[in-house]
Amino acid sequence: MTVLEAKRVSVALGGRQILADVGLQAEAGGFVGLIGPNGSGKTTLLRILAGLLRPDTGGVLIDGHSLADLPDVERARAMAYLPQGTEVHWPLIVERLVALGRIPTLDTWRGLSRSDFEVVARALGSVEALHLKDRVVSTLSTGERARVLFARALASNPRILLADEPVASLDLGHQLLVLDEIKNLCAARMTAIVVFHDLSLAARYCSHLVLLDQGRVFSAGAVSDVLTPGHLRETYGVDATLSSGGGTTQVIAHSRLPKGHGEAPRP
Amino acid sequence: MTVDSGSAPTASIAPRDTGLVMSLVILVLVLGVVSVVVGRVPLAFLHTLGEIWAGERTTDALILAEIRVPRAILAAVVGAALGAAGAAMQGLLRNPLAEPGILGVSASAGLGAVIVLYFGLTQVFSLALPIAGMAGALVAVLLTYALSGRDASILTLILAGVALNAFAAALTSLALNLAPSPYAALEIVFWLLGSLADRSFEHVAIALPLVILGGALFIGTGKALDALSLGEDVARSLGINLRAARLRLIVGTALAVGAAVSVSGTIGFVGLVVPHLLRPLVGHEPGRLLLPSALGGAALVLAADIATRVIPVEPDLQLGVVTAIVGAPFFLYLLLHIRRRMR
Repeated sequence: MTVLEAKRVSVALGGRQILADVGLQAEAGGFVGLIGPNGSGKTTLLRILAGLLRPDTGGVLIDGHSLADLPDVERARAMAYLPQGTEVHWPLIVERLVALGRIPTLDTWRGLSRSDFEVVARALGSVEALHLKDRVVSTLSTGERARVLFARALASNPRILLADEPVASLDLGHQLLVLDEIKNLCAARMTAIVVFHDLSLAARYCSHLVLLDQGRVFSAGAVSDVLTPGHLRETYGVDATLSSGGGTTQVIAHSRLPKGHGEAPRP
Repeated sequence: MTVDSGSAPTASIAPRDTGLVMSLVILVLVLGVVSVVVGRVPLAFLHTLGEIWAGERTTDALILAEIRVPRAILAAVVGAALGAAGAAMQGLLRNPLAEPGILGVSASAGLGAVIVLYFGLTQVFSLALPIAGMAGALVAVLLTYALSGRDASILTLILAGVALNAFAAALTSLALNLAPSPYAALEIVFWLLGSLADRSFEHVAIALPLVILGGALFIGTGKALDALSLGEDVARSLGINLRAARLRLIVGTALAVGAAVSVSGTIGFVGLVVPHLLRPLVGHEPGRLLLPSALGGAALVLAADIATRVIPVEPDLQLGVVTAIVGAPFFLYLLLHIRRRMR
């Protein structure tokens, strides 16, 4: 069953075409990886899927209905959005910060209850950050903060998780921890759409990949169909080897191709 | 952690800061009483209170009921407006250096009053001053919206405020430049320094409803301010209607601060310092800061106004001078202290 779908989405920002005719489908329980070189439109697509940016043409469907027609609160209850970066504007206590993720579930005048804090504790625990709950967020390391913000995104128990490079600032162990958590949640029917820069991790965790290049879908589908040396040459402009073994694919980029190569204009 | 549903409207997602709020209420009440008791004319407070109760219209009774009491109420109202508006602006703009006048409201309200002083309209109509101040504040909000568009980014709003502040300051300087007499110029300068001397219940009647209305617009914006800690995109993704929250916070600030400036002149640093002072006591959560900031502002302006009457200099110290002289060094201390703690 398709949970979230982008249909022929195009958008221009500041006079520049960022996305052109982009389509994407995510099934219930699917773990979709968004990959592509810098400036290919991954973040913009994620923001459109989150309902934060209206496309110029095309649209987003959630459960078959137009996302634009969904009330803000309903949308917020269904999906969590985790942007890139780890900036927090005030030195909040970690537990209170994660509790901000509960906002969509609260009635207008109701404060947080004990059960909300149980959910918060569970979310923190799932990324091994429960011991940080009384810390001030500004005193955390970047990686700790990234885990706490990830817990914030999980705190609304979303059906759909949209995350922009959630593991970029994490160490190896915590990268696997966070991605394992997403995978577990997807096994419980959550839908995840996650931007990746590390293609080996994307290959290992995702059920589907969407490779964007210059605002268009260059390739989409199963991991083995999308990650090919030819595709990587044409989009990232690198010579790469893909080695499969142990049920996973490793992507090793050897060298950058001369400029101009692989950037041939497409029709 | 409380499980029962609170009735406090600003509770949003905060644990209730009952202790803090109660302490501040008591502080405001105590300072309010001190403000009524202390003054140039020594009063036998309880005796005079008895006279008022008995309906005797002695000089002391008149001073207490017609001068001291409205002055104390006005101090609390003006302080509450500045404190709450400072917390609202800092939360909305996510900038600890924001103050109530950042969007140009104070300067424009001041300009409205300066124009009245310049043309000597106060002689014609005693309430021309506060009414012109209010008009100036409202023009400021309309201009801010016209300049920055209805769905403006925070940066556009700040820049529009910079432009408005500069323009209001320029016109105020022009009024001083062209002032018909040195006396008129002095009157303008002194008014701009801010004061609560010689105010009446008429001023309270003008300021209080607008400050209450402005404050009422803040109610329910706590969640939006809290969510903004994580940036605009995340706040919106949490289902917050940012456009509505922004409109309420800006219009609320304009009403409250415009009314405050209209009756008291410009009183600096209250809206900047009070939120800073109280922020650590509410876990730095912007939504929880609104109510304590209003009370803290009331306490601070009451205290500063008492100081203008206790410090024996001639002519009387202006209120805005006291708040700035105490506020600026204190603010500096606060910044150094906070920086050290965060390191």
